[in-house]
Amino acid sequence: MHTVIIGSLDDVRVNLFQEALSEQNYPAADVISYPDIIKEKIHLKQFVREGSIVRIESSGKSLEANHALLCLGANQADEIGNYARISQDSLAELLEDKGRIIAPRQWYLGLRAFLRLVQEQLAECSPHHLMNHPDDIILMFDKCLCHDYLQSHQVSVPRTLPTSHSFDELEAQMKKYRMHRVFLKLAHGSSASGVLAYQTNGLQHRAIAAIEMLHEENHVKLYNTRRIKTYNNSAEIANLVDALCQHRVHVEQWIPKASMENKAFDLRVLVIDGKAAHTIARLSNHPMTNLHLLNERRHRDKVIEHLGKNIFDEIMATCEHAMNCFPKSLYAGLDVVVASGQKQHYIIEMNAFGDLLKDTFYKGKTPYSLEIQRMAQYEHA
Amino acid sequence: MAYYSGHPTNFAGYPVVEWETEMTVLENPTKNAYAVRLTWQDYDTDATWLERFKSFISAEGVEQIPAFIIGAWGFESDVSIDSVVEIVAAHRHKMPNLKALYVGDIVSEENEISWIEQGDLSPLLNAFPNLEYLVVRGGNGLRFGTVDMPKLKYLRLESGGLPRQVVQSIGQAKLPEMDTLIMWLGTSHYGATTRIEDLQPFYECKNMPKLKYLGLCDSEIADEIASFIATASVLERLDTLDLSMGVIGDEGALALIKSPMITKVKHLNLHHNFISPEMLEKLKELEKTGLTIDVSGNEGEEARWRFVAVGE
Repeated sequence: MHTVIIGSLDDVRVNLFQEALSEQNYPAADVISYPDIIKEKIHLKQFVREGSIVRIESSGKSLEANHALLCLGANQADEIGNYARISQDSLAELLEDKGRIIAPRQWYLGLRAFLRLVQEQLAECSPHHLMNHPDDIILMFDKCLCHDYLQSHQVSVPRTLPTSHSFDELEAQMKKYRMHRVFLKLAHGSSASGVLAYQTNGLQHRAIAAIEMLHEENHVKLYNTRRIKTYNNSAEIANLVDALCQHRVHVEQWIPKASMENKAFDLRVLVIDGKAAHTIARLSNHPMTNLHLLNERRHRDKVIEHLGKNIFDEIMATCEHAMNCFPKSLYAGLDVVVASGQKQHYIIEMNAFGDLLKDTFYKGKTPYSLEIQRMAQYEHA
Repeated sequence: MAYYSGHPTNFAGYPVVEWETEMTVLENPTKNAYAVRLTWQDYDTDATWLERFKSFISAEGVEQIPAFIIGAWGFESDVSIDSVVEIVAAHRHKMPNLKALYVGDIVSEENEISWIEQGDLSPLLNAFPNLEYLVVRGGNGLRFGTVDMPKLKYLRLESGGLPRQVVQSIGQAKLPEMDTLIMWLGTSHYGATTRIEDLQPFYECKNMPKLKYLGLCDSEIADEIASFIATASVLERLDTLDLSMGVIGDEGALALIKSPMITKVKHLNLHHNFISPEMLEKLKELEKTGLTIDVSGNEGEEARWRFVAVGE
């Protein structure tokens, strides 16, 4: 079995996938970097053979790859609005500014252009097996579009508000649609980047976010932080929301999460080849359950024990149904909120690169091993 | 810091049933606690707590219920609890067997504890003098007035900031059967106004001759409280002294260690405080006398900011 990974060399995801290949006695994959494709240093034809498995992986933490995506995005027209853009000249300096939220919309436009380029090149390659399809990755990287797509396929998703462009607009929308607590997320952010939990009772306001604000003369710089910050001052919250809205936001109802061990939790469910597999609960003392904020996690058995088999099975069925809406792709990591009372559950996110779950096993297999096993069957089919 | 326990599934020993409009006949009403609340799904509807309660109170079997839970009654700051108190009190004859009451079962995923607007609950206490078990969550605007509860055994007041008037009411209350008293005193930022002198009646707890469990929790004046209560005569008859979730440092811990009275209790709860590892070791020595001490979740004196466990 020959594998091609489009990703970043020395990235943890690529390394772990290589390990998984080696464990199953498959040869190491060829790794092609994003910049090499974008700068047309190579053509995928040179690597993809007949029957090759092609895995499109996240660019990970590679500065070079993210730089290339932002550059590519700089030249892309935006069909839906005027969101924050950064010129190619100032990019290098900005990327050095650690944790800074730069221009996620532009990054997304770059990713989309890149994936279309990959698609074009793959069309010129010998017949091969693609793990996840560029169309699906593009869709999953747009939280607004992905939500609407799932909703149109009768997948249980939270209520949303039309996208806001300012704090005033958000307040007006919340009032109009009677939503007192919302999650405001960057439409193209991953993990907890740029996620804000906001609530008001008409008098008081509170926003909780893993975002740090730095005021400069006439604008606000945003930084991702590991420290959860609470904002109680409405002027400050307005600043923060206004700054986030420059990047296109997705606003959904903040559904009260069910609790486990006196903590709020949500689930990350990996669906591989149509079947819900690896599942973990992420426990948290605050509204942000994303793992990199050092929250605790509980494994699948604990989740079943806590929810009961019936509810657990229903959730898994919802996840499989959601993944079935993406028939061209093998896997995704789905984030599921179980509402307080456990009677309802909602898919809040689909992550095309959501299969990096360390120390997590399903039927004795890591996510990557299971994916490889499934692909091997397709290869022989 | 928020506190994330979910809604209780069991209240005062009774399994909790979330009452829904279609439950016009209560099944096994003597065996369950019933919760009437607005949920997040009512945010965008015109449902009101009062309308829901009116339907609930006309359900068959409601006369037999032993336990009642008042959940969220609104999500806007202008929805007052006064009309809730009024209507429940007015229907006291419909719940003659009520033994347990929860006012404000609202979890932080619904509303921050410091945003819960309580009010004067004395009409409720007067309407249900036979209550044995009472829990109140939220301290803003909370008042009890004169308390005379001949059967009350268990009282827990959860808040991010408890007004001193409430502490004074409890200190002067008639509570001949009281077994367990837990007060989350909170922080001044969220309305805590209790001073040490307000706790004077709790030194002896004369008004609670049967008290076995005293909880003075979640306080930003926890060091002072620890020093004050360390020598209290009430310790002679307590099973548990609960000083958890506060900001006790080595000063408060030392006061506890030095007091010969402390070993009179069977269990000392110091969970989530800020006692240093060295002092924790000294505390642990007390366990040789048979006392058990919960010292989990202590972050040490050097923790840059000391916070009570529940504020926001």
